[in-house]
Amino acid sequence: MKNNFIKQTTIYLSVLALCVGQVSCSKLDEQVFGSKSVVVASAGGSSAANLAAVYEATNGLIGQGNFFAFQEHSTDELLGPTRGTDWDDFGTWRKIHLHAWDGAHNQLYDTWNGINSGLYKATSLVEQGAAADKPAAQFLRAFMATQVMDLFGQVPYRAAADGPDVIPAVKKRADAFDWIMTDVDAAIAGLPSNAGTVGASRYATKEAAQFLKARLLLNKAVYKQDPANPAGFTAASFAAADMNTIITLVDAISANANFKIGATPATYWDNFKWDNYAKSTELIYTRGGDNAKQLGGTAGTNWATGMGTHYNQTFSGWNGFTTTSDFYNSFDAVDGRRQSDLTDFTEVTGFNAGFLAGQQYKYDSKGVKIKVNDRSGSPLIFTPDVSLFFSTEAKGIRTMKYPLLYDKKDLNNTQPNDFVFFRYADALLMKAEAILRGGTATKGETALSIVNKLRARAGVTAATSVALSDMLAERGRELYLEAVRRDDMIRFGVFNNPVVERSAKSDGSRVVLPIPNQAVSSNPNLKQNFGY
Amino acid sequence: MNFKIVKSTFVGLLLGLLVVNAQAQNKTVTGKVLDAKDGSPIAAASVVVKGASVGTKTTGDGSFAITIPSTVTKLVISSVGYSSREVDASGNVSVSLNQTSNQLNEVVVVGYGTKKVKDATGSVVSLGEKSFNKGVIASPEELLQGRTAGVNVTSNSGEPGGAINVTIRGTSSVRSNNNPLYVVDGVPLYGGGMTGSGLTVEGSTTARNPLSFINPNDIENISILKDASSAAIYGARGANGVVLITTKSGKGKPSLTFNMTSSVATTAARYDLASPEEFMHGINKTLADAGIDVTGVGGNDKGFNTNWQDQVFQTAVSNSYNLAWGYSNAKTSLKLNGSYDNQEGIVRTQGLKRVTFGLKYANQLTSRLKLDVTVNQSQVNNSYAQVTNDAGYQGSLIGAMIGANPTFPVYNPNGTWFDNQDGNRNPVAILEGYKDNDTYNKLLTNISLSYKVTNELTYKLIYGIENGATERYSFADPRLGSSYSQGTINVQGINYVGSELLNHGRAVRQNLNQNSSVIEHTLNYDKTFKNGNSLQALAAFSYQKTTDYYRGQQAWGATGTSSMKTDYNAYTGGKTSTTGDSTQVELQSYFSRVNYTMKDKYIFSALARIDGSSKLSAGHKYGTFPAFGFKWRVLEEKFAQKTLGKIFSNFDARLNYGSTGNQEFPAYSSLALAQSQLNGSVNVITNSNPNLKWETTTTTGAGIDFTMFNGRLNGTVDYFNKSTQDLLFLISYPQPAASADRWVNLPGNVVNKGWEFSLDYQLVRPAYKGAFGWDVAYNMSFLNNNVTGFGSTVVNTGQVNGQGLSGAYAQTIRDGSPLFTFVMPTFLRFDAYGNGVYSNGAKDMLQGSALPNFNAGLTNSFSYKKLTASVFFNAVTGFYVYNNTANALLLKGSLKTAHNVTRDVIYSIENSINPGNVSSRFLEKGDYVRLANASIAYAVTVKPGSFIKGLNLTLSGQNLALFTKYSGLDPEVNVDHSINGVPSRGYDYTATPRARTITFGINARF
Repeated sequence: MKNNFIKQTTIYLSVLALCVGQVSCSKLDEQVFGSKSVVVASAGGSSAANLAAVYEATNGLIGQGNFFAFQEHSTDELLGPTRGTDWDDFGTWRKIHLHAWDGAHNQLYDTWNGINSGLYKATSLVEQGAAADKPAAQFLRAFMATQVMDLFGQVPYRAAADGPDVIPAVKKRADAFDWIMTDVDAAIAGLPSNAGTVGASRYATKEAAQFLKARLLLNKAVYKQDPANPAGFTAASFAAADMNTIITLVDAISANANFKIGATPATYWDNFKWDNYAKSTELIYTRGGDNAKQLGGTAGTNWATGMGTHYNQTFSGWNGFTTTSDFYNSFDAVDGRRQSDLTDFTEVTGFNAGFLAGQQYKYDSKGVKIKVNDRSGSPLIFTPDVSLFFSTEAKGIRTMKYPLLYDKKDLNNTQPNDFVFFRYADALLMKAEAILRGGTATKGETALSIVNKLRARAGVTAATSVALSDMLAERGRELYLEAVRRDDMIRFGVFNNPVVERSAKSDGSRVVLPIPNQAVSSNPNLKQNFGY
Repeated sequence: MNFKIVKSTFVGLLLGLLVVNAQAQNKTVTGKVLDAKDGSPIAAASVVVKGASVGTKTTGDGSFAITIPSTVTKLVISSVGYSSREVDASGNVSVSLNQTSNQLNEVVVVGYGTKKVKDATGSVVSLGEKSFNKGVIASPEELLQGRTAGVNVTSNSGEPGGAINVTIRGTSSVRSNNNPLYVVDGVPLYGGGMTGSGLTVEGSTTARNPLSFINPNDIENISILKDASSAAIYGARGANGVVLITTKSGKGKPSLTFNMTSSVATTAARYDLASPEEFMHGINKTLADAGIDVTGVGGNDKGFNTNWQDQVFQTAVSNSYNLAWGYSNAKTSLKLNGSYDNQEGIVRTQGLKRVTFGLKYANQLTSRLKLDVTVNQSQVNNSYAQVTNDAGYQGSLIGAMIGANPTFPVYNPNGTWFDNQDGNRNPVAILEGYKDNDTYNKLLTNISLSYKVTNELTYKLIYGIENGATERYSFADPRLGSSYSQGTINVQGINYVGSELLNHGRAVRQNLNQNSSVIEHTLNYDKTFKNGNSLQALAAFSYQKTTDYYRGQQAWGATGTSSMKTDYNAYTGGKTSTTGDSTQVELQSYFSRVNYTMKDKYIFSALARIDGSSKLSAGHKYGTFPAFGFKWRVLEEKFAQKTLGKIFSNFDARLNYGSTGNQEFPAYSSLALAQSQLNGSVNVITNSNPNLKWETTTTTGAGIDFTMFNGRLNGTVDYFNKSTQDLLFLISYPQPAASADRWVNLPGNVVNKGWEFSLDYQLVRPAYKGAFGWDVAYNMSFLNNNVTGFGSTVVNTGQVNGQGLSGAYAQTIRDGSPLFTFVMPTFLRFDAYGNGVYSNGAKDMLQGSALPNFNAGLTNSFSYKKLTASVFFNAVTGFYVYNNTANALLLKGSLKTAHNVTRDVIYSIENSINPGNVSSRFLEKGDYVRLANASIAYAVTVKPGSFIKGLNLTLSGQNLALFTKYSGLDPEVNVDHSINGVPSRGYDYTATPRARTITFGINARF
């Protein structure tokens, strides 16, 4: 009996010992698996990979919402009308066109986070990356910081080595401008020139940095303005020295023989259509579309088509945004930038490039051109009149800036187009404007000659004279939907003026966006902008 | 039996009796007092001499020894909750007492042990089979719905096996999961299961219920630990309450039980959609009003009369079979259990098939060593219809069904799906063009050894394994056009060559493997002292490790495009690279509990649990969760017997306090993680928080339990105040940073206060066996939820889905409001043009909350001869439901694009270009009363000694009637509309409707 007890106890105790041994107290360290790894503060991983991540962050600037929406919907170029049950979207588009945004606007927060996340990645690379990557990282950081400064009027800064509980310091707009300039100058000095190879514009180049510097200087008056007194600008706001620097920078870009302006309207569309990365002679800084060979993931451009085209068209879009009648009417009827038929595109889809107005067409399965109907079965005729609050399906003229690539057989599309950030024509127009603002003409190029060079390419008659007041309209015609309209209207002092479907002048404080509420509450160093 | 009076006279007469007894010759009688029902010892039962007041009490193991005069012939044995018995006063007696009041002596399973209700200091509710809901039960929570105060069970939709929300005493966590911890036979479940998120062929589908693998027939008892003083034994995971599920054990002689149920279910309610005539009238009038020349508009009227609801819904037939065999003897007990369920959904193609096998084995290996083994193996096959929760313009299956043009045919004359090429989708094509199934295998094994070191001290080792593996295959038919499969022609936003849905088809494969192992060592000390006081103490260590592995992949291009291929390997056109993710979480705990019962009058309990989780940051991994409970059995006091004792036969007061934790947030939230992308970039994806610590919930509560009217009325009243602090939340992280947010502990509190009442009343006590009896059980709870100390932080959640509603939300979490408060402009009326008019310039206004503040359940049970019947009503009030279905689909403007609507919309004065803004127009009170369950059972007479030992026939109905003013199908709905992981409540958006089910069941014992 006793023996038995001892035996059993022994067995039991050994089992117990085994179990206890199996699970000695754990340290509870977390195990991370697969594609994920714990970031170690000092090491930044492979530097090439990180450069890819920074390039990839610029994809956030591409898309119908956020950055692009604030740059375009706030102007006379674009609006997002509510169409009955469609497109109310919580008033998100309407509020931008009406300048009725506040710190709670949903796209504001996404825009802030998106650009700042790119800014952080760029800073990590500048401060901790490989020396070879530094000039590119500085260009990218300047590019990101410019957007933050431009939209929000303040730029927060987090050093790469900062611990997780560090609250970022905030640079006011005027200080941020100087800080960005340092990066830009370093980038210009350190970056190679654009070699003119296919896809070269997808990387940071000397010309891209020069372009960025020119754009910053052109808008310097805006950035150096007293935020509490956002009035218009006088001629004196633009320093002749800065204008001459712009002219020098643009001339430096022009010195690269890879950049030139074509002679026909078709060459204008070479800058945007599906093979723009190979055909265009103007691309200075871009981001590649489908399957593009570049660092980081690709950015599609089908949104640029779909945001306007109707459900029943051959690119079945989402029937949303339209341009304003005033903007559409600012073009000469023969302007190739307004409407051009494109080979391999128009006869496949029924679309022209440019603006889509009037009866819309497509091709049926037998290749016969037919009228497109709306969803209630009546012919789809895009009309210039549009109401921000109450529009029916066909109201408003649509845009077709990035014609997609179609497979003729099954009409499926791909979107290999590069999205254009910086373009040579813009550089030339900056030079023209700098001359008109007190800079000295060089190389025999005058404001008029530059403008007429672009007008000739567009197929419109030459202007006989160009005043500063003509430049805004000309920039609009050349650069619409290139995400510069808001900056242009602010610089020309007309941003707050009424436009189609915004009948009242908006408050001067609207030239900067509010800091999103969530950001203000996360960082005590951020003070809400004047007027909000 | 008025034990109190006996006891009160006892002390006074003691001295005199001793004097009398001193002169007589004495004898000693020993014995044991046991519960007649389960043979368990009854401690502290009183043993007195008949006709006198001399006596003693039984010890903890029910034994007694009394020395009495040799002249005494009878002893009277009594105990609270039992009818007293007279026994001969000689030798060694064994007495079995019958329970009079089940409630007090019912043994409830509490964490790491059992207790009698009368000894429980906390708020614990125990439900046995009798109290379970009847009918088609896909998951254990459905057994409980409405049956207990303070426990709110909401099924998200009518989908078989769909997710169910269980909230105990309100919603306490702002973020993360509010579901209770489930413990099956002592092993905390890791839970999980295929969620349906991730890759899908058609948008995001509703989450699945992680408990659907349990065979509801195999459940003996469900205990709910509502308050922190009981739940704190589960520490870090007990913040939302704990549900303890005990499966059946073998009992008595070998017996075989066979259960079979067969049921028929139909939609309890359908949409009141316009007929073809009304629809065409509506569409023509709407177009004419919008200035469109109707004569030129063709194509809307195809001349058919299709009832699309008939095409989508079906009468669902479900069958379930359960076979169990078991026995027990002095040393061993064994229960084997097998079941097969085949549940059809009321939406065609939805269904759940389940096979389960259960084994429960216990063996007293030696007098000191006991082995327990539990094995539950199940396989669940779910088949899904494309009912998604975030559909836009084209709707998911239900949305497409509502909007489908009733003049369109279902099929073309050649048998293919009719498609009007207008972007609107044929609901039947959605049903038939997708095949979406998963197989969920689950093994839950639990082995424990307990060893009696001494009579008082027991050591127990528990080792539990939970293995879950889900494989889900989804296929889309190559004949579906580009308007199907999320309306895209590409895969996850990328145009792979040949990946268009049309002519290529698409397939998705997903695997989710979840493994969890638990090891626990417990030491239990149980001592009853000679004076009747008793002490139980527990010390334990527990360790749990869980790993998750998810993998998903899409493929396209099956060879031969004339039909849907349902073999993943046939999709050879191309595959996306596999996305995979793994997580591992470890939990380690030390805990201890002490219960002390003094004079059967004062019961104290104290416990502390120290929990460590790998998810929290270094230095903050451990949290301590203490709890205290006190119970005062008032009627044991002499002074109370003369007052309270006149009204009550039992009266207990309870006080409890405790804190519990919450760690239901994603693993790795405290770390900065980088992820390498397929394109070669390495992105930092999270921001670290080295200070992340436990979210804790502190509950203070008080309650009384009473019995009146000779045991016919039992009642409980509870008050609680539950406050959750250090709320775990994902908030904005100061930019610039790698990502937008990080997990923090917010300074705010979520406070839940409430009252719970439950009453059981034997309205008609059967005068004799078989006479008419009527029991009424009623429970109700009042709950007040509020967010405090939240500062100016405003978190928006509850996105509103549908065309034209991108970016819209309607719920907010902010200081001073209950969780899930709706926020939106207040709709006043339509103006003369049929455009909406809103108050305050259409500014957002705070509206009501989606959380109910009142829940009640009323059960009436009847018995008469061999018939028993019960009727159960459930009422929930004080909450709002956002009718997203109406907001997105039931608008006048829908007619303009030839979408059908309900009949009231056809005749409404709304303008067809009035936008369907989010507003209080679509926010409705959800108050409802439901005749949730009714059943009638008949016990067939079986001759003694025949092959069949018992035969019961049951007819039951579920969801038989609904009384509500809510305009949608059912206000008990909760479609997930979370934003950035912040949960939402109370959204109704094209969910699978709830069924009305009639079930016939046979239960036979052999």
